[in-house]
Amino acid sequence: MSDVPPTLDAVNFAFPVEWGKCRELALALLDPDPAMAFSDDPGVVAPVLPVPVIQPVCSFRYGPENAPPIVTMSKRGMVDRSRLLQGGLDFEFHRPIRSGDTLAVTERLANTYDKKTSKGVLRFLEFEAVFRTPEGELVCTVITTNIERRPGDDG
Amino acid sequence: MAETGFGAPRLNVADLSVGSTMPERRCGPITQEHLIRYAGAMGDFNPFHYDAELVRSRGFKGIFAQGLLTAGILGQTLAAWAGQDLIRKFGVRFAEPVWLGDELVFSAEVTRTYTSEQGNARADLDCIVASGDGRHVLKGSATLGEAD
Repeated sequence: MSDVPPTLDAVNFAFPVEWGKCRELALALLDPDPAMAFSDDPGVVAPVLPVPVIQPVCSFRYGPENAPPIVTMSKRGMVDRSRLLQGGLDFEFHRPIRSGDTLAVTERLANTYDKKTSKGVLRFLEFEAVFRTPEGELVCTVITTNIERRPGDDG
Repeated sequence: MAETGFGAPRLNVADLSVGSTMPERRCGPITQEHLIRYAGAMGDFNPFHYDAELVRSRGFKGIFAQGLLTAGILGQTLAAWAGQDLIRKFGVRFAEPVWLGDELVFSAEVTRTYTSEQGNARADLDCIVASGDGRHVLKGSATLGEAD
């Protein structure tokens, strides 16, 4: 059952994919490629963005004027972030993402629904982020599923 | 296939068959340092990953790792094996928490091979991240192949 709040606008802004950020994330993700781990010459290497972290790279560009949907929902009392858990992620890559790219992202709340489980009713929130080049080429689509534990489900 | 740069294909997808496996990778034990480094890189300081009192008050037995940390290590392992340019799809479901001290085993197996509408070889994989005590903490999937 779809229950998308109609008042929540999509967020849209552009951001650069930075070499140092790619490397920092790759190292935090225990990248097994020694070239990624030990080379620090951006003229030699052009790290690709680690697979599942495109959103963190753009999240550094969020601000008051382009807050991600989950933050807007929290401020409006539509969700309790302290009760949110990550349920899953689905990526579709149309081409690799490399440092030096500039991408534009459009992020929106795509769907919400409830599921009855043995631990009570859980609320699922699906956010869709679509990444394109400035020229409009589709690069990547990400669906993020968050799960809100309702009060009384603890323990 | 020779590597020509970061992300370049490192295998020929047409050579894969059902049952082909990614070399298993073991990481851990997961420590608070892993979580802190990841939180800093991500800019995400969710207290569930450092505030033991809070997480216990919410019904968890202790601090657990960020789901994307586990997913990210899986993604980098897959990319190191296949070449990131070949990753067309990647999906993860977080099944169980990864607790501090857990050792993790990352594996993936080809479940289907086929050809895309544009004639490119494709391979679908099931991915599993298991903890040292046998729990499947993450279940994933991936599709490998040249972009159409």
